[in-house]
Amino acid sequence: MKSPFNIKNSVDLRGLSCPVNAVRAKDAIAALGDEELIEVVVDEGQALINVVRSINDAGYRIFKSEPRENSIAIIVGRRKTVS
Amino acid sequence: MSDNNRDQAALGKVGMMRQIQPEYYVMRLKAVAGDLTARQLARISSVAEQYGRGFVHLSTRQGIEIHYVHQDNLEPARLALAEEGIEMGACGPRVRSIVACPGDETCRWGVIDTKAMARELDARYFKAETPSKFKLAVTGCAHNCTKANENDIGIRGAIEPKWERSSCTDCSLCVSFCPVKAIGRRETDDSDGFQYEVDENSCINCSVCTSLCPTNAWVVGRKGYTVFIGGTMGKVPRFASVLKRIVETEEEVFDLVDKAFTCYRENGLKKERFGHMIDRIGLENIKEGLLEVTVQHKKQR
Repeated sequence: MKSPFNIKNSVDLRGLSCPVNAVRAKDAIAALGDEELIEVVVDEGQALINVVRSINDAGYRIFKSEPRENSIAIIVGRRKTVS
Repeated sequence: MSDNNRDQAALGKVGMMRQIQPEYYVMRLKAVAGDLTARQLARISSVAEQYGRGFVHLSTRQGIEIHYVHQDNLEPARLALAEEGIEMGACGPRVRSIVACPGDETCRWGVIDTKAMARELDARYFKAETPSKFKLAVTGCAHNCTKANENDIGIRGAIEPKWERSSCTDCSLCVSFCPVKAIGRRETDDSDGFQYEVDENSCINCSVCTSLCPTNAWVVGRKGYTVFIGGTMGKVPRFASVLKRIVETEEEVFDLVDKAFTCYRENGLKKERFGHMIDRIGLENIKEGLLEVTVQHKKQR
């Protein structure tokens, strides 16, 4: 993904259903440093809705998204703002 | 009609249905919006133990039925239930228990107070006589958990989303998560350089965008109720038709429901469901009549 963000790495959650995809996303985000971001790739449809909901509820922040083939890549950080 | 048949009709009116086993009855209990207290459940349990066969049956309309009650025990069982405020349900050609999802009281998607509306509809219409059975449902949002469009009248919470530039960070997530792909992003000539738009024709008035936007840039513009008429499952299923997509006040909802209900009572043939009556007369005719009457009604005030 072409992005000005400093992305640490990518987690592929395609093919996983709720709640496994959301739990794995949150685990990966929790392991980030304050200034780091991660790319999370998730199936479109209900999986995207579940994962986004969990990320929002956990207080993490989605900065950007990019549709891929049958999936979406979202850029997430631990903090509400990024420097 | 024989005496026996007349008795059956009278019992049906108060929610007691004859089983195929001679002398045994089903007691159908009412639970508005599917709610019962723990005390009521305990009483239902003891009545099922004492007068039934120690089990209950959950109906598709959020109710509980006690099966295998002997005809001699119907009255004592009814009284024992009534002591805890448990009323009998409805059978036959009349308004059935009002079903509802939990609504905005507990659900993140809910946009209306479904239970309050169900209780009001119950107070107004429960057990009112109709040409055929008549079912009402209230559901909090477009997820449609209580299936508004399978009911003779369905009320569904609805929102019209509004985009607020000042909160938007242009993450474009909404374009992806909108369940019907009604949200689009386009480049603009102004200093912002972009804009998000919702296609009103494909929007289903759900609350996914307003609930999931990470920066709350999608907010509720208008909030209200979608009123459906003429839904039914059964032998000849028919999905409900939209009477009005966004009704903004509770008062207008009750007004429309009342008009629709009256229209059915006046025009429905015996054993003809509301939806089939609508098909016989013509949806556009019915809609025009109902919506026109509402406007006139408003003007009189």
